[in-house]
Amino acid sequence: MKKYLPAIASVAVSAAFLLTGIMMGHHSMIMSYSIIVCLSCIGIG
Amino acid sequence: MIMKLKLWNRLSQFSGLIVFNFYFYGFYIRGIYQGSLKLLPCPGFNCHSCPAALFTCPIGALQLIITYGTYHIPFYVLGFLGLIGSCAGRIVCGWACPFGLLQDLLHMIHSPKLPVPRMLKWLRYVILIGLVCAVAWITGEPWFCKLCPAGTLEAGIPLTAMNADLRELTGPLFAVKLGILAAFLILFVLCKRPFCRTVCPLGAIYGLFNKVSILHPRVDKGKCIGCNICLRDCPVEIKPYENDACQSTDCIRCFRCLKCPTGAVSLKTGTKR
Repeated sequence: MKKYLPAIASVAVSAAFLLTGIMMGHHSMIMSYSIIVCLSCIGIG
Repeated sequence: MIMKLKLWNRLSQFSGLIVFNFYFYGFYIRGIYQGSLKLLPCPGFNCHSCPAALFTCPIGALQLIITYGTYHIPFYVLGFLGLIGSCAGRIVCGWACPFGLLQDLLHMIHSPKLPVPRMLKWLRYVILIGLVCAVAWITGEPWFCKLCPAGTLEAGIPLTAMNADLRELTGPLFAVKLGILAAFLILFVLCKRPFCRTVCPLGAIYGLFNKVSILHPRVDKGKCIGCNICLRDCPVEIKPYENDACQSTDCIRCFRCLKCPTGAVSLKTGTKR
């Protein structure tokens, strides 16, 4: 069990980050950004 | 068994390409997908402005939050990537990334082959911290996207080819992007996975989890006879028998080193001790 501790801790921290991001509304920010064609990706601007 | 593993690996890479880019209708409407799946970052390196892309580019999303997000810390994207990385490190690079697949396929073209200097592996962290984080935060512009060869290939070329309006707006930056893409395409033929090993900021993030990830290959040094068969097939040219090479930030978890004739390399779970 001990050998999985680093991975479990990493999953826990990542999950906490993910939830924090969701609570801060990052997912909706990302959504509204990515549904518009990114001119930088195309090479305009 | 190993031949089957290689076949499964290739099938998985093609599946990644198709799953991440399943909105073929985008080519018909000459636009991009605008549905709810764009809430999710793509696990692989895939431009969200590709007409077929279903998910958001994680590096684009990272730059967006760093530039405009509350506290400028991209919790959501890092959490998402961290969950994948914690399970199997850079496994997405080896098994699902469309840009990795492109590099593998182009490297199969017969040509003189060149090694990638090992020192250049640190460049991806310079790009991640410098270009993706610092420059985006200071300038308020996604500078990695402005130079990204994947964006040129997946979004720039198809969208400008299909839309006359966009074509008219292109200028010097588009030419620079085409030049970068052309240079990388040549490098893909000459070197094994040069983008993944020296530039990719997504691989740099996943690589940080290689040490703690649940799934990884491990070498029994007692069984290793130094035949280098593992090195010959490794897409990132690491020597699994060297000090914890499979736990380094370079290993892309393709598991091709499992073809070891003496069975010295095996798949393990958990960290070393």
